[in-house]
Amino acid sequence: MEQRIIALGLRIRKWSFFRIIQRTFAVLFPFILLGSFAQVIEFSLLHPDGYLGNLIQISKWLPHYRAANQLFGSIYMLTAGVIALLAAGVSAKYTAQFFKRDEQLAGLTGLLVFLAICYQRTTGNNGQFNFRLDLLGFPGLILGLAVGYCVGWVFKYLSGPTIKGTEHGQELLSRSFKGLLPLTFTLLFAVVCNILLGLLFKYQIFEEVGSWLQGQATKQSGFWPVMFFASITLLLAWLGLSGPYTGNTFDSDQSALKNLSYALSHNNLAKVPEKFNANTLYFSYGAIGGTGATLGLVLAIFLVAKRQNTRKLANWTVIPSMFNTNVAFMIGLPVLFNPFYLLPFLVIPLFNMVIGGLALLCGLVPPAVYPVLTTTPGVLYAFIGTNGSWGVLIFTFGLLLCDILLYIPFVRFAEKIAGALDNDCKRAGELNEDQ
Amino acid sequence: MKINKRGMGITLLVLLILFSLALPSFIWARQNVKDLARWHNSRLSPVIMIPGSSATENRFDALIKKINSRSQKKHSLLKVKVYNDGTVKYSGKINAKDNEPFIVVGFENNKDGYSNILKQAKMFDKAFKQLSEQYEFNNFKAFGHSNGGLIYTAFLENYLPKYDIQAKVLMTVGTPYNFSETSLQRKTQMLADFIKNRKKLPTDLSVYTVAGTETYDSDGLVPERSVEAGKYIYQGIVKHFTQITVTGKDAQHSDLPQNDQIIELLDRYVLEPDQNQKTKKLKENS
Repeated sequence: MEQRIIALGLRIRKWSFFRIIQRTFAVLFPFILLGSFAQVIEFSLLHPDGYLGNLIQISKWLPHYRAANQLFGSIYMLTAGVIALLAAGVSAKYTAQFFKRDEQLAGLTGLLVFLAICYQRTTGNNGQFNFRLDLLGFPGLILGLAVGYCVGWVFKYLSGPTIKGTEHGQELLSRSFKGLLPLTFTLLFAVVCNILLGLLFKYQIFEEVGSWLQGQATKQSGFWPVMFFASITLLLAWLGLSGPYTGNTFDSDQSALKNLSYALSHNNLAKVPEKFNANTLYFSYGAIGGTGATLGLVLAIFLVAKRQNTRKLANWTVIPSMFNTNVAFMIGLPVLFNPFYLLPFLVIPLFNMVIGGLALLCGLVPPAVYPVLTTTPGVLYAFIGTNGSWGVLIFTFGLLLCDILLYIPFVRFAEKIAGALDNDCKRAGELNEDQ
Repeated sequence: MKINKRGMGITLLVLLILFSLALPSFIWARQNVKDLARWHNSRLSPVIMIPGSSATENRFDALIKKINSRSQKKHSLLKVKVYNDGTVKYSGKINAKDNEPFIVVGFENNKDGYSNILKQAKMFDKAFKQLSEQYEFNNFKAFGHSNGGLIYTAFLENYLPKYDIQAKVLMTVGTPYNFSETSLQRKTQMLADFIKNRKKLPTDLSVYTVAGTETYDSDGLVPERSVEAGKYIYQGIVKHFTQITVTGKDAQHSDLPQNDQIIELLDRYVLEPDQNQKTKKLKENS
C-alpha cells in the first residue's frame, strides 16, 4: 500500500505540468513571502478592523497610521498583487526550458501575452482600457500558469531547439529571429483570448457566478449547506481561487446577524436561532489554522520533517500562517495544485467542522455569534466569537492538536516521495555520467 | 516515528504564543460585546429635523411646543448649530428618560442653491456623526422642511450608508425636489443627481412628502410640481412612498411647519404611538 502511494506520488511529481508548476512556485515564493508579511502588517496591525492593531489600539498612538497602512498595502500590491503576471512569465520560461527552447524569449513573451490578455475595457460608461488588477493577483494565478504553459508549447512547435553555448552577439540575433514566429503567433493568440475574456467580462459571467454563489452562501444556513459551501471554498482555495467563504461573510450573512441580534438582546448563546451557519461552523472550526487548517500542517512539518528545505519553509511561513495568511506556505510547499495534498486539505477542515458541529449539538460548546476582527488567529475565532468562553478555547486547541496528528502521515509520505525522487535523479545522473 | 526535538520546541512556542494571545483577546471581546449590546439595546429614537434655507435651529420651536401641548409625553429638544469652520454648538438637552427627543440641526451657511445644499449635507453628516457617537441611537426619524428635505435626500444617498443606523421615516414638507421648475420635463442638475444615486437610498425607509397649496399649483413659493418630483427619487426604492397635499389655513410655504394638519401627520406617521394609545388600541382589538 505504502509503496503504491509512493509510486503514484512519484509519477505525479514527474508530470511535465507539475514539474513546471513546482519550479515556477519556487521562483515566486520570495515575492509571495514578502507580500504575506506586508499583508499581515497591513491587515492585522494597521487596519481599522485588524486583530493585533485593535488589541494594542495602535491607531491611537502610532503617527502616520494611514500612510503606514498604505505603504504596506503597496508592498503587497507589488509582490503578491502581481503574482499571476510573474507566474505567466516564469512558467513560460520553464516550459520552454523543459523542451529545450529559448527560455529567455519565452519568459518575456509569457509576460507580454498575459498583460495583453489582462488589458480590458473597464466596466462603466466611460469604458477606458486598463489592466485588470484582479487578474494580475491571486484570482488570475491559474490563468497565468495556463498562459505561460501554452506559450512554452508554442515555442516548442514553432521554434528550433537552442544550442547551449557562448552567448555571442551574432548567435543571439539568430536566436531572436527564430523567436519571431512564435512571438507573432502567441501575440495573436493573446488578442483572441483578450476578446473572449472581454466578452465574459462584458456579460459579467464571473461576477454573476461569483455573486450568485456568494448570495447563496449568505442566505443558506444549517449543517449540510455550510459543509457544502465549505467544500467548494476549500476546493477553490486549492486552485488559488476565492470561494464563498474566503472572506468573512459576517456582515452579509442573515443568519449571523439574526444570531447576533438575539444574543445581544437575550445575553444567552445556548438558544440562538441559527446554531449552524458559516460563522459557528466554518470560521470557528473549519478554518482553525487558516484555509485548509494549514497551521496544523506547518506544525506537523516542524515535528517530523527531515528535509532542510521543507523545515526552512515552515520557519519562514509560520508567522503569517498564525494570522491565517497561508498563501506563502501553500505556494512554497506547494499545496496549490498539488494532488497529493488535496485530500487532507479538504478532509481535515471538514473533520473539524463535523467534530465542532457535534460539540455544538451536544451543547458542549456555545456557538460563536459575536463579530470577530479580521486576521484573528483561527484557534481564537470561536473563543472571541463566544465572548471569551474558556471551554471553547480548550476545545479548539484540542482540535488543532488533532489536525497536527492527522497531517503527520502526509508529511511523512511527502518526504518518502521526495526521497525516492532524489534517488531517481541520482541514478539518472550516474547514467548520464556513464554515457 | 521520530519527533524532531527542536521542532517540538517551536511547535510548543507557537501554541504558547497563540494561547497567550487569548487573554488580550478576551479583554477586547468583552469590551466589544458590551459596546455592541449598549448600542443594540438602545431605546433612543430621536426625530432629527432640518429647517429650510434662511431659517435657523429655532425654526421648529412653535411646532414642538404644539406637539408637546397635545400629548402627555413631553419630548425634549436639543438644538445643534454647525458653523462653517466645522465647529458644532449645542443648546438645550435630551432628558434622560426621553426616548424620542427632537434634535434640530441648523447651519451657519443656510443659503439656497444646489452647491449650498451639498455643503449643508456634508455639515449635517458631521453633526450626525457626533450625535450618533454621543447618544448611541441605532435608528432615527427624519423631518425636513423646504430645503431641509433636499439636505436629507443628499445625506441619505451619500452619507447614511456608512453608518449602522436605520432611518425609519422621512417626512419632507414643502420640499422643492426640482427647485422652482414648474414642469417635470425640465430636470434641474440636483434632481438628476438625486435620481442617479437613488439606488443608495435605504430600502427600509418610509417616505412621506407633504405639499401645501394656496392656489391650485403652488404654496406661494414652491410649485406643487416640484414637490411631486420627489417620486422620481423615492418611489420604487424605499419601502413606502406617500404623497400628501394639504390645503386650507396655514398652507402657505412658511406656515407649513405650524399647520395643524401637518402636525397631525407628523404625530401619526413619524412619532412612535403613545404608550397609552397603544394599550388603548390593544383593548379595542381584543
